[in-house]
Amino acid sequence: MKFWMNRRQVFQYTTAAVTASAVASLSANRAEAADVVKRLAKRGYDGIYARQPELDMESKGDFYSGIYTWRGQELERAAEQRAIELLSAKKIDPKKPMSWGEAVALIDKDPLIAMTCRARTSHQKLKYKMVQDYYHQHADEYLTEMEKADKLGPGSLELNPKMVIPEYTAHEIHSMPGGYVGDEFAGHMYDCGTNWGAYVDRNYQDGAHIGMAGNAMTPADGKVKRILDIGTSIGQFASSMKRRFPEAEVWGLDIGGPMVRYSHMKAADNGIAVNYVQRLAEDTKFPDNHFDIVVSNLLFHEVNYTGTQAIIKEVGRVLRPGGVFSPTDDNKNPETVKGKYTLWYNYRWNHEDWYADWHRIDFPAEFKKSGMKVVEVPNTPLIRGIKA
Amino acid sequence: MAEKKIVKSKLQTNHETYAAPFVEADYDAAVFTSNEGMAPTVDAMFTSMMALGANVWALQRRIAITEILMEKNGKVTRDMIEKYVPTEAEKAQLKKARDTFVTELYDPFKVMGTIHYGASIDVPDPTVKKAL
Repeated sequence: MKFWMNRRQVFQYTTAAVTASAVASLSANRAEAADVVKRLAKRGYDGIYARQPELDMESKGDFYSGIYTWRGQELERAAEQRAIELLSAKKIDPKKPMSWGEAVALIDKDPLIAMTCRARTSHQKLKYKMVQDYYHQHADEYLTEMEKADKLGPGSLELNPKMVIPEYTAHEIHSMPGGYVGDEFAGHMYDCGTNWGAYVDRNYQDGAHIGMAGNAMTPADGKVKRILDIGTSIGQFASSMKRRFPEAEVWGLDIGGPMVRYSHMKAADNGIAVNYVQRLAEDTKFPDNHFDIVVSNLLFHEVNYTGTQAIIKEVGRVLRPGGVFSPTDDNKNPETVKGKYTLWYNYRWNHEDWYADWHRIDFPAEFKKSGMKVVEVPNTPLIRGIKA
Repeated sequence: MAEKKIVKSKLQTNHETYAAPFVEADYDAAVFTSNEGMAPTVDAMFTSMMALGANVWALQRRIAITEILMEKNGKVTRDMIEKYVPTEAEKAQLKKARDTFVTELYDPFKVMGTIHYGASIDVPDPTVKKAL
């Protein structure tokens, strides 16, 4: 993927290999989109998305990207080496099976290892605070922007402000202020936060999600009419599936109202017709046997034990026979003591509050209970479910 | 785990909102660096230094863009600086400069000492022992 194309061109590029009829359909979407959503884009566009509204914000974000890379490549490696030295001094195999608690007790007194936690937490706090502060200070104009986008296409938006939000979905997951449901600008924060963090340098033009969509398993009969992305967050997987399957009806579902609003605004701005809905993944409201493909990206580590069971059961219900479920996250435990320590840190202090639940779930067993045959993805820890 | 506290967004607005109450996290309560005799203020200082680094880098990047525009046009306006889109070559140069800056600023945190200076009087250094 070349990232210097403009936002419409990227849409064209990703569909270049599909059929002529599909391209004609997309052209109609683009024409329709030309007079619809208009982002504020005060500093113009960078590829498919509006640039950050101020140069200093863009620059600080760039700095936080650099910090993220340095922390991962430099500080963590030094800490990993320190952990090996500490364990070696105690004659403990760094890969000895043990609990998270035992791992923490062995190495948490070391200042270098503790510094990895400090660097992670400071990075999360500062980047999110900067984005939240900016949008809260300019709330009127950006809420007006979203209100306009709410009513425009292509695609559609369903908000359910009176729905009951289960408590487990309302945590400040990965230290994002307000989590997925609690701040009007949750989508804005998530977008910046992931680009300056977990997706650094590889997703600011949706490249990572376009890759995931390309790898998503399809039904054996090749029929793909309807696709559902559960836990869509800011909608990138759903819009990438629409790019891959332009004639399919694509839905993106999330519990966060602010998240689906932002998803819709971004997709519509790119002329991509996805239907975003604020609903529960364990109660999607769709008919039985409705979807050919259900996808999810990094969803289950943010769901509690019973929620995960209920979601997998719901996926089994809405998939049609032969339909495929393609989740992207796996719950394999890290092998090293330092890996377990970092997992604990993420659970406790980065507020990945459902990490422990996630690691207790037997996903293949849950898939089978929900009527899906389990298929392993070669050379990865991932699994797919095919409805019997 | 600390006691759960349900809160609402602090944003005050007349617009219709779609945010819901949420469970407040306690990440601000974390002290990571108080082991081995270090004071908890080290945590705050590290965060402060990271914020300072972000501001310094924003200034450096602004200066670099101003210089690029001056060289290209002979004059600049604030709007030109705000909206300038670096070329691919300029982006690569800026990224290299950023990584150098980050490394210079933070690499010291990779190298933490293990010998307390007061105890180092006993180091097996013949010169030091002679001076004693």
